[in-house]
Order: sequence, then C-alpha cells, then structure tokens
Amino acid sequence: MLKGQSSNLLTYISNLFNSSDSKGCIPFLQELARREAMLASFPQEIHPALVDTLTSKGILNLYLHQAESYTACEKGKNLVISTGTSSGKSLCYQLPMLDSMLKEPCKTALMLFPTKALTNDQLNSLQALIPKKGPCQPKCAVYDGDTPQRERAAIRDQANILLTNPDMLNMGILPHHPLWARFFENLAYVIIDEAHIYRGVFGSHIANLIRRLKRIVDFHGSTPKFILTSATIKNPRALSEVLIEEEVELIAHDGSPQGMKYFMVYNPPLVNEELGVREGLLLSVRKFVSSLYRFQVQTLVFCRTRRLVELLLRDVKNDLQISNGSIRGYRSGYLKTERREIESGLKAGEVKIGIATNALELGVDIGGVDCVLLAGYPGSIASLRQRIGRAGRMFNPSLSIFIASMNPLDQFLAQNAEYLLSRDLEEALLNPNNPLILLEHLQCAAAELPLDNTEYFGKLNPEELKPYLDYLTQLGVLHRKGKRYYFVSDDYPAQHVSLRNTPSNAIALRCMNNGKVEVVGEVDYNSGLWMVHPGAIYIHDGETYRVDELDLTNCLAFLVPCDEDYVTEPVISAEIDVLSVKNTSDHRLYQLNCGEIKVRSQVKGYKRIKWSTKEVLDTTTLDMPETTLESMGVWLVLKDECVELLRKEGLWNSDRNDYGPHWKKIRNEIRARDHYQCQVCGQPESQVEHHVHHKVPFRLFTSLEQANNPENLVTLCKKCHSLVESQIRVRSALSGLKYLMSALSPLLVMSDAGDLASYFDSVAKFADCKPAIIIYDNIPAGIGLSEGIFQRFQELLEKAREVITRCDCSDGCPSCVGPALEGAYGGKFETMELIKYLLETPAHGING
Amino acid sequence: MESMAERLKSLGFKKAVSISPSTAKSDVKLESAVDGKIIQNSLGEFVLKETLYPMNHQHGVVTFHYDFHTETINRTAKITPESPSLERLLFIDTETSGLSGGTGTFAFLVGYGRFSSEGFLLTQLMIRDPGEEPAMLLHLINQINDKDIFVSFNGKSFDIPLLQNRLVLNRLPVKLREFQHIDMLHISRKLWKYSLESCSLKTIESAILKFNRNSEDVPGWMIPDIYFAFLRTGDPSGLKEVVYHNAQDILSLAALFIHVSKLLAGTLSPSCVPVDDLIAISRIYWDLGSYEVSQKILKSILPRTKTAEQRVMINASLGRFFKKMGHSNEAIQYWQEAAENGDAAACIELAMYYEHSIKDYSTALHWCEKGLQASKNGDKNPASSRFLISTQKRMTRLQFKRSNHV
Repeated sequence: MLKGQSSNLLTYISNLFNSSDSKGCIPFLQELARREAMLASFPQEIHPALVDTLTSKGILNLYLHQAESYTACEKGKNLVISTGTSSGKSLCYQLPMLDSMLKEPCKTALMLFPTKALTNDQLNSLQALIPKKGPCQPKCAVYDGDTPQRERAAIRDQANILLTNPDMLNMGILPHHPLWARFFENLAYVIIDEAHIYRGVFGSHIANLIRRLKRIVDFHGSTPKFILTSATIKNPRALSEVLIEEEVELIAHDGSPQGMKYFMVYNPPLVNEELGVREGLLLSVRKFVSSLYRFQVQTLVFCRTRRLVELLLRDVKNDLQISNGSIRGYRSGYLKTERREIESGLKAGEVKIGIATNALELGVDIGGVDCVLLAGYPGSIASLRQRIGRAGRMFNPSLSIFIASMNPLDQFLAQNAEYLLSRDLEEALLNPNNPLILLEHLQCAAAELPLDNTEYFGKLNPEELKPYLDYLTQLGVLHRKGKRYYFVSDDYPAQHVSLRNTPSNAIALRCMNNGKVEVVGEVDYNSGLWMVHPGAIYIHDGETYRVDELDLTNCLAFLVPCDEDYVTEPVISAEIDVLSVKNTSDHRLYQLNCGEIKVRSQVKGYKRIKWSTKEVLDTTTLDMPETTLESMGVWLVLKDECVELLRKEGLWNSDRNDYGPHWKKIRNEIRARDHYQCQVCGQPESQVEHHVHHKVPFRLFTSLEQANNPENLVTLCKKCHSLVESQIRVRSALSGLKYLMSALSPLLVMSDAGDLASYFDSVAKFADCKPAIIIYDNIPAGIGLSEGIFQRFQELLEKAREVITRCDCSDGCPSCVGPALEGAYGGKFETMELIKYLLETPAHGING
Repeated sequence: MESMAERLKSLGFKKAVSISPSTAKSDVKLESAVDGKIIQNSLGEFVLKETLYPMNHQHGVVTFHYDFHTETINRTAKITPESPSLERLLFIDTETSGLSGGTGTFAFLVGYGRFSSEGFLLTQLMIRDPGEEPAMLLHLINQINDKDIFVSFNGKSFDIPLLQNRLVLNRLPVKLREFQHIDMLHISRKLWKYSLESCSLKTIESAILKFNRNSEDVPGWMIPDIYFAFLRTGDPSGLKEVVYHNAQDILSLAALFIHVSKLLAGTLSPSCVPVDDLIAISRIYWDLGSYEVSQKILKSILPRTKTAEQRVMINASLGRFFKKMGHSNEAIQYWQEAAENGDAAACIELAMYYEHSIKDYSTALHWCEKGLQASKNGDKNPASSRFLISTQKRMTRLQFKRSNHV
C-alpha cells in the first residue's frame, strides 16, 4: 500500500510494520483517502476591495463551504459551520462580517472565543484581511481581562469587531451595556467559535448568557445574525439551535483539500498477561518519539497532563542525547514569548518534536506536522479529531497515532477504534433551563434591564419565568412594581456567576508549597465529599496529592503533594428515589424511563488500590455526611419475563470450575459442618448429596485457599443452589451491562469525567424491587445528558453488543464488561445474553 | 412560590433565607415624611423637596456668600471660561441603591444646589419606587442648562457615569459626560493628600470645614438597605435621615468649594493657613504654570516651617523653580539643602549639575550614591524602577567618564 512513495514518513510507517516490536500491538490502521479541493469562485456580491485583498494574498477561489457560508449569510440566515480542522472555517465568518462593514462602515460584530490564545491568533488573521484601500478600515480590538484600563474607553467607542470571551461578556460588557450603546446599536454579527466546547454546565451557562445578550441587543435596537463554528460532532445544528434558540443552517460539506492520512491505534504490549497489565504509556510514547525523531518525521505529541509533558520531554531528550531546541514542550504556564517561539519553530520546521497539552489543541496556527501522537484518549472524539487534524500539510501524507493507556475507556477504544473516526456518534448536550443556572442569569438580566412580566427569556415564556421572578422578589433581590421587576440589591450579580460550574458551595483545595499556602483549585461541595475525602489521592492538572484534612465547615481541603503508587476509590452507598417520570418507553422484556430522581449518598470509606496491578491494598472507613442530589436520570428496568429467560437459558453451561485436588474432602467437611441441611430452605439430604456453594464466586479468587475458605462455603440443596446462582447470573449481567453503558455513554453524549454516574441493583427499590440499571446526570437538576441517552438507548445497546461480541477476552476484561464486582463474576456471557434479549424485543411504544 | 423555594433549596441553592415579606404598609407617605411634594410630568410622578439656605448661612467655618474668586479652581479643573457666573455651578450628589456599579445600580435620590440672589437653593428629587425613575430623570435634565458646570465630590467617576447609564436605560438622550465638571475630590487630593489621613468628604468636613453633623445622619454604607427596607415596607421614616445626609453632603460640597476658592485665591490670611496647605497650593500654581506665584508662596513660608520634611519639600521645589528660571547657582543651594536632608530627586539634580556643568565626576557619583540611598530610605514613595535604572545608567557613565578623565 505504501509502495512507490518515498518520504521520511512513509519509510517510517513501513519500518514500523515490519518491526517485530509492534506485532500484535496495532489493532487498527486506516487510510483516509486524499481529497481534492472543491472550489467556488467569489460570489458577486462580495465587496470588490475584499476580493482584491484575498487575491493579493494568493487566494483566488473559495472552498465550497466558504462560498456557501457567504451566500447563506446574504440570505440573512444563522449558520453553523462544522468542518474539519484546518479547513478554513475562519474565513466562513470573516468574509460576511468584513463585507458587511465595508458596505456599511458603522456595523459591528462580536466574536466569542473560548480561550485567550485563540483570540490573539484571530486578531492577527483578521487584521491581515482588512483591505488597505477599502472605503473604510474596520477597527478590530481584543477586549478581555488583559486589556489595559486606559484603552478600554476607546475600544468601547470605536471598535467595529470586538474579540472577547464569555467571561468578559458576562462580567465586563453586559453589566455595562449603556457604555456600549453604539456597539450594540450597530451589531450585525455574533460569532461563536468552537461552539462544541459549550456543552454541559458550561454550555448551559452560555445559552443563558446569549439570552441576556439578545435582550440587551434588542433594547439597543438591532437583531444580529449568529455564525457558529463547531468541531465535527453529531449534532452541530441542534447544539447551535439550543445555544441561540433560533433556527440555524448547517454548513458541513468540507471543500478543503486533504492529503493522504493514516490513522493508527497502538495498544502497548501486555507485560503481565494474567493481570492484563500493559507496558506503561510513558515508555511506549517515548519509544515512538525517539524513532520518529530518528526518521526526521516532524511530530506533535499530545499529553493529557502538564506533568506528562515535562516527564516525556526529559526522557526523550535523555534517550536521544539532545539539548538543542529541536524538541520542545508546550503547555500552559510557559511564557507567552516562549510559546510564540515554539509556534513559529513548529511552523518553520525547526522544532522536530513538540510535546504539548491541550493548550495547542484549539485554533493556534502552527501549520501542519507530519505526525500527531496522542498519548492517551483526550476525553472526547471531537477533541481527538481536532488533535489529529494537526497532521498533514498541503497534500503531503500524514500519520496520526493513538496510543492507548491502561485506562478502561482507552482500552475500550483501542478495541473499537473505528468509533474514533465516526462523526455521527458524539452529541453535545446542554440544558439552558437548569434552574440553578437560570436563576443566576435571571438576576444578571434584571440588573442589566428591568424584567417585564410579559417578557420571554430565550424560549421561556412569562408563565414559566414567573415562579423564578417571584422567588427572587421574595429574597429581596427584585422588587415588583406594576408589570416590572426591578433589581434592588447592592450587588453585582455577574461576579457570582462561574460559567464553568453549577452554583453551589465550593471546597477550596489548599496546599503547602515551599512554606506558602497555594490554592490548587476547587471542587463543588458534593463532589468534594467523594473526591477529596480525608486520605484520598487527588490528581489535579497531572499533579498527585494526598488529602490530609477536609474541613467541611469552612469548605477547605488541605492537600499534600505526594508520589504514591496507589490510587483511592471511595466506597459510596447510594439510595435512589424516583421523583417523577418524564418519559417511558415500554418493551416486552424491559422498560426504559427518564425522569427526576433523588440520590442520597454517603461516602462510607475508601479503598487503596495499587496503581500497577489494580490490587486492593486495604479499606478504610470514614464518617462523612450524607448528601442529596436531585437530578435527571435514565433507568432500565428488567421485567419478570426477562429474568425468567435469563434463569432458564444456559444454566450451568458456561463452564465447570476446577475447585482443586482437595475439593471432595472440603466439600464433605462443609456438609458435615452444616448438618447436611440446605442453609436456605432447611431441607435435609436424602438420596442425593447437597451442593456446596461459593458465596463469593470461585473465579474472583486467584488463590485456591482463599476461595475454598470455609467461611466462603455454604451447603445448599440443588433447587436453592440454582436460584442463588441465577441471582448471581442476573447480577453479573446487570453489572456487565452497566459497565458497558457507562463506558459507552460518553461516546454518545459528550461529557466530562464525573458528569455521569451509574448504579445497578438486582433488587432496585426505585423500580419496585426489580433488577435495574440507572445512569444519571451528576449535576444538580441535570444538563441534558440523561435525556440524550434516553433518546438514543437503542443505539447504546447496539454499540454494547458490537463491543462485547468483538472482544477476544474469555470472561470479561476492561475493554468490555469490566472487572468483576462483588457478588458477581466476569459475566461476559450473561451480559451478552441480556443484551441479545433486550435488542430482540421491539418497543411497545413511547409515552411521554 | 413556596415550591420554587423548596425546589431550589433541594437542588443545593444556598442563599440567605428569604426576607420577611412586607408587613403592614405604612400610613405615612414619603412626601409628607420628608416635607416634599409630588411632581408630575409626561413620564410619571416623583417627589421633590426644596430648601433655601439664605446668604450668610454658616456651614462649619464657612459662610455662604458671593464674594470669592473661582478662577484658580476653574483653571485647575480646566473649565472655560475661567470665571463663569456662580449661578452656572450645579452642586450635585446622588444616593444610590449600591456601590457595586454596573447597570443594576440606580439613584433613588438626586440632590443639586445652586447659588442665586436669594441664597443657596437645594433641590432633592426622589422616587417612591424604581418605576418613578424616568419621571425624575426627565425633571432633572430639564433643570440642567447645557452651560451648567457640575461640581461634585467623586462625581466624575461615580455620580455622573451612573446617571448617564440611567439616562441611556430610560432612553433620555442627554450626554452628561460632555458637561464641564469640577470634581472636588481631585482638587482635595492635590491639597491634602499628604496632610490628611484620607481625602473623604467626611474627613475634610471635620478636619477642614470643622462641621459636625447631628444625630439625624446615617453612615453612607447603610443607605441602600434603608431604601430597600422602604421599598418592602413603605415606611419612609428611615429616608428622612438619608435626605438629611444628602443635604449635608451638598452643603459641605458647596462650603468646600468656597473654602478652596479662597485658599487658592490667597484671600485667607496666610498666618491661619497651615504650611502643608501652602506647600500644596504652591504645587497647584506650579502645575498651572504660574511659577512666580508658586515661588513666592514657598519663600514666604520657609521661615514658618516646623518639620525637616516640609523644609526638604520646599527646598526641592525652590531648586526646581530656579533651575527653570536659569539661575543654576541659586538652584544648587536649595538642592544641596534638600539633598542633604535625604531628597533623592535633589541628589540626582546635583549629580546632573556636577556632571554636565562642573564636570566633577567624583562629586556627581557621590550624589548618585546618596540618591540611591535616599530612595531606599524613603518609605513613603518607594523608588520607581525607572529611577533606579536611570541612576544606575548614570553611574556607569560617570565611572567611565571619570576613568577617561584621569
């Protein structure tokens, strides 16, 4: 496949494949075909000065999606552009924006970028496009926390194009909108770049921020059009329509050219087959980087943490004995000048190996590289695709390598790598009507402009708003007079809004560093209980800490930096109540529900787990307060028929365990101990000997002695034994399916670690004591994830079946049904059976 | 409604418990409580109170009358023409729903005073609820003539921008920011930055104007809550104190204006003016380019100085004056005096003199070292990095010159 082409990269690839080291470690390699550009000529309506400028830069045509965007804007539509990395998305909004200003010089535009680095990059690219000889020179300015006070007034009075971020819009612009009267009166466009970032809690805040923006803009008498860009996710259009609450047209035909791309997955070799332990991520990445350097393949390595960047940088420089600037690190914390230097070094090819965190993921222009190496899964497919989009320059072939870590999701994706290339999987979801988030923004809105009792807030109508406004009136924040609610508080509500968190008490994380107290970060109160309980190992930004003390009265956690080789896992007891069912779909063997739930949970203690072997070192008990979470959940309830089927099918036939050479003797001893009576129903032995049952399944033990410990054994009659075993079978199937569902859900609904929680019980109180699995939004009032899963449950089950069928393991592994849980065993077979039954039965109907 | 509160609480919403709903509404009306009247215009109603303080009204040590010159104040605040008629001055102060800033803050009381032939007429406009704001603002802008000059205390950064915001929100297109404006806070800082612990109106009122408020007054930070309480209960009794507070603020503002005018015009007998004030006045004249006046004031107080600090300041300023006039010999004398008493800038002046005029590099170096030392000792004004860098540069150059010279 690689014959006839000669470049460092291709030599490297063929070498890699012929090397014996990588045997069995490359489960996936895909060629993404070269794609020709789809060009379009400049639409006639574009201002000639703009066309001249583009032409003078050597841009003689537009890509199809750029031309389409312009035309759609001309028709007055809102747009979202969802094309690949480096496909020229910026021009899609730069053109209509500048065009409108050349035609009407007073027009203005607001551009929102999620990071400051992106903002500065955009300023440069924008300024290069402004015609020198046009009828006017639109003024562009960055307005963020770094903008000097003395420059701000001039920017407010003069800027045509304002480049800013959501935080500044919330804190610095909307609360002072009268100062921006000229800007808002003339607002023609609002640009929202990288809109896929605005999902979950952050997105729910942004949707409300946009509601506030639209209110203010309306007051000043203009109706701007929105242009959004998004990474290639499943639902760019739906996401945009929830964010701006207007109709949006999707532009998704990527007209930009692309060279041949190779995408490869590398799963480090097993070093301990029995325990399933693989070669460390750092070591594997190191080997790759060294050989890529030797082949002179320019490579960008993405690491998940800043710490990994530094470790890798140190090791690779050591391995290669290199001290010049051809290998550089790039992460937040580096100086601005240093970063610019590395960016231009990458562009010019002087930097051969760049080792970066996600600081380099968004926007920042470094040209293309030959190879992108991903050290571990970055958390979402969109983000992975953005990173691998860095590979490839013009029509040159390029390579992307995803190196899987030991993390279950990484292992899972290594086995199911085609998911990584699918753009039809991940959905970005949010909930603009989350009551806590909404309440904060309503206060800001009232402070910005009194609220009328006939007014809408986004799509929320006056009746829906009234309870909130009346509540705020009751709190004394608002004062109602006639039909209006006035803000009457000596407060600046926008400063309390933290766009990335749900409103709640936060626990501040403090750490002593060189004799000084440093604030490491914060976690919300409820998460704090299980994330930073005393004794917990807490990893923040790649640094490992141990929690010394948790002071809940003052909301402080004291951390100590450490370098332990274990992690901790909280032991949580949870009780779930269903408050209301919003949606149900009924099937022959199961029922799927979606609704409001209440989770009461308590951290009972924690386990210390050895990092390398996942072995539990010990368990410590804790006395922690109970917490309650009200949120949205989606739960699967197995009907009696389903349980019956599971019972009947395939009993005992999975395999026979070899209980060891002394089994016969042990068995007799236990029967004697139990007076030859079934310990469940009391039936004495007659002709047939009773069975001896392992309470904790035999397979879960590595040592024969422990498994056959008398305390783990009990005498049961044949009938009772089969009942108990089938109970375990149900538990195993539920455990396996729960594991699959929670592993796969983030691939369907984009979420951050900890956004979703799951739980299963074979006697679930919240489901009339039937076997059930629940997945819920781990955020007060929810952010739309459970609803998303409800809608796509069938798809989730199908994915689960694909994964489990394809997995080569014998009885469960981290890539399919996960590790065995207490009172269950691997359960791969049982899980497979369960999924088969669930998928076979068509839905009876959906009621909602 | 109760259910919303419960729902939010169960979701973890943690905010101070809800305040008690308004109990029995008060029978007393705001307008009668403050002895005002209701005014109606095309945008609605509001309450207005007028008080005339006759000529010769006494406010602390200041007597209200006409015979003072405002020229220097006006020059300092860059007002044109430099001697407008007193009737054009509009002394203004607002009471607001908070100090947090942003569009959420509004003025519920706007007070303004003017001199006229009958005396000082104070007008206070207030609203019974936020809905009356448009009517009040309309009345306000109708009372303002575009030749008026605002006189305020910190009004340039607080009251006027706030009122401007409110006008935009109520679609009343008047640009208050474009009016001429004398902010007495700025002038007070020039005068008393070094001699008073703070330049708040309160401090100035008691230290300079010797005026004491009676028990009717309330501290400023309580005012928003008093108004919010009135909104909830309708009981206007607390607002009487706010109206008193606002009136005293404006009277003190006018008294301060008269006092400063006299200070700057030199109409007060110099012996009753503290040395520190006179040093500050000389500085104001210097900044206005009236070097001779500045110098005269300084020379006149030199015999009266009590502290070394004052003497250093006067000597340094006189040195600066004579340098400007081209009398370097006299300048050197004063600088020598200031430098020996630890004035860093004077040391450098001397270094420059010895370097360029005398070409005595060793002495110049000596003064540089002295200057660096002085800048380290002076804890009041820590040396700027620019000063340190330029002095180091000067010293390097001097060392080079000295070695070449020998």
